[in-house]
Amino acid sequence: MTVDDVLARVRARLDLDAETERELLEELRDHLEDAVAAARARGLDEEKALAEAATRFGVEEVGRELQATHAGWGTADGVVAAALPVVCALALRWLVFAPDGTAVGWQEVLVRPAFWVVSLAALVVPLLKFPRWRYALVSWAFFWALSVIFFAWPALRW
Amino acid sequence: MNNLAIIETILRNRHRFFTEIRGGVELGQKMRAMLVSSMAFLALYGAVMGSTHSLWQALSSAAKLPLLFLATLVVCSPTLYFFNLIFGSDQSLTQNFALILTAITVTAVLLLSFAPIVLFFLLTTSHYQFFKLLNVGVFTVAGVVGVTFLSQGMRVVSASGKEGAQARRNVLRLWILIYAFVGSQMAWTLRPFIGAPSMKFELFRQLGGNFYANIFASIGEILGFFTVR
Repeated sequence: MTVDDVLARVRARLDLDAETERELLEELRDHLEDAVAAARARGLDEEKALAEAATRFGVEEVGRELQATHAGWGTADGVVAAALPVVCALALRWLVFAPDGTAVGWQEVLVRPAFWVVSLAALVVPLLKFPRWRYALVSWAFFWALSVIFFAWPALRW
Repeated sequence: MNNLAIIETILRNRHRFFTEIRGGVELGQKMRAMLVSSMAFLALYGAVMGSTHSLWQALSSAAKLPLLFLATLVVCSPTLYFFNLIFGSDQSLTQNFALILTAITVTAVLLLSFAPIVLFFLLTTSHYQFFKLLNVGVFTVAGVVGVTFLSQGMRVVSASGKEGAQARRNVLRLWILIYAFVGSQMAWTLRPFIGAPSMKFELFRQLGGNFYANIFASIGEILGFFTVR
């Protein structure tokens, strides 16, 4: 039995997107290798050290727990990528437009420093802190730019 | 996260999901998760549709789009259940409901995935008829994929009852037509979802006309045959 065999048994219990599975299995590999090294330092041979580490981790249980914890993360990424830019762009739209759909006075919002400070903080902080949200935030920035351009020059709309 | 995990299972491992519905495994939990996520996605898509007109229209469409799908589900599911029963199905009404809800969830997820595209056109075009037809196209694509899931689910869930299988398949085809017809009429009854730019905001419009005539008129205007007033 090798570390790859143990990881293959864990992987058989997972039904996640490939990227998440790879990240989880890499992390698990590090833990397993540390545990094997510790067991070998206590005098066990390679085979027994790995068997002990695998038993201590509980392959079936680890697989089940990882699946339960991470199920839906891939979809969450997709949902965030689709929904976040849309929600933010709509919020911006209704911040700029009057409730009746007219854009009279929208320039006032854009010259308020607080608007830009809050908007930039909302854009940059998650971008730096949450790697999974980066795509969504870049997409939001695109829609934001588009919103501002078409508010400022409505004649560009076809 | 549970609600999203359900969606991931439906999209990634639908056979296991349908097998669980056949076995009645955690049906209530599954239906709740599908209901919550699909209603949220539909509300968001509704808000995008209504945003071409006004904030009130956006809020109204965000509430009406989930209502449209829920009402169609409630109106149409007994027909599917009883016709399946007549042709030898052993599925319960709850299982039927769960399968139709699966179709709605898939439709809602696809609508959500189209939301950024629709938003892009909302920002860059002011052509009302084009935007209306774009949405009809998006709904058609999402709806067809949704009912394809329903059809696959029906096959898995009723796999144990071989007797009358062909008749049940025909019933399902007929039911899908009825579902589409009821859905489009329901949408017409609950309109406006986008809101004509020349008209003031209304929660509901007066009855009159029909969905299909309106779509043909929009196509006619886009192609330059006539102008819709």
